[in-house]
Amino acid sequence: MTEQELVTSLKNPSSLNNAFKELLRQYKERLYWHIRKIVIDHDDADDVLQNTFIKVYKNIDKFKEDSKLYSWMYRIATNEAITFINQRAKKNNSATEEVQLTILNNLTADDHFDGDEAQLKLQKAIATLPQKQQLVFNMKYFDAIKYREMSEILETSEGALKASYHIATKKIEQYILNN
Amino acid sequence: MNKNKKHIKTGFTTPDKYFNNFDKKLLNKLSIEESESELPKEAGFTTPENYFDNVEGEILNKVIPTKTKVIKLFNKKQFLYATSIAAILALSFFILNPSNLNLSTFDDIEYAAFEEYLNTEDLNISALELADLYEIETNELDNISFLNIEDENILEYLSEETTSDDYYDSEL
Repeated sequence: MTEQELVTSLKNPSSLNNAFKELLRQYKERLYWHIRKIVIDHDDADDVLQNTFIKVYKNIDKFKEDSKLYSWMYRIATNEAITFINQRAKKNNSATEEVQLTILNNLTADDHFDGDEAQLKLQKAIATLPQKQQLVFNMKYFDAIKYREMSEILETSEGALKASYHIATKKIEQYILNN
Repeated sequence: MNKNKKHIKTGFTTPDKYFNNFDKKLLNKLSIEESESELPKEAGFTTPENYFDNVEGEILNKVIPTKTKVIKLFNKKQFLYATSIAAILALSFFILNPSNLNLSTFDDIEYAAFEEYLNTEDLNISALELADLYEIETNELDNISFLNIEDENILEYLSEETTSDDYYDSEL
């Protein structure tokens, strides 16, 4: 099923449910890993993933098709994950990066993290970045998303994204060299 | 050697201390590239077993309503029946419950009270109705033989029970 066919089916009430199942099958893992890298904890990622798909289901009529469905869903997932982590930070009366670092410091005891020391160090380095740079770095470095697609998802120019990635990379390198 | 001095042959110059800094910059870049190449390409996060199989069902349950028709425990009609029956039972309890009348059995009704009731109330009961009340069939009345009643008994009854003069007056 092409993306256009999928969108048409999603917007038709009689085929919505089956199309939504197909949507879940295609995107659940990709969106999960995208969310997981932002919120870090598995249970939090699970909550955000479910909320993301619920929003997609309820708002499919509002999808204007001026971007790809994939980009639209990534945007919703990104917003949901950032909102979640910001709310957590607000609740703890601290900065988002601090919340992420706190979670990362407990990561070695997490059943759902089997990374080695280098992976943990990289995650800590990413957590020191401003939110937008974190997003760009994760999407480019781990998911190899093209700047053109990233531009649609994050609604930022390709040039600004390239600059963000460059700066993020330098900061991470510096962190790793110094720690 | 003055590094800022124009090259004799070409005239090209270099920035101040360029060659002194070049080594440092090159080494720094190499170390960065080396460290970048050592960066892991995996984040190290894992999921519980069968997570992606289960999460699909969880999301579907939340967004797609099940087609099973929900049957209310009580619909409006049943509710009316139930309340009506309850009201009748409650009223019956207060009206018919002998304990509320302080009477344990029908035999406890005193004859005087019963007679008083019959005297004061205009019952207008006909003989047949009375017969029905006592479950006497009309043919049973027919079977009663008045011929067997002795004349003496009739005279005795009349002398004891009919004391009012009105009877005589009306007969006159």
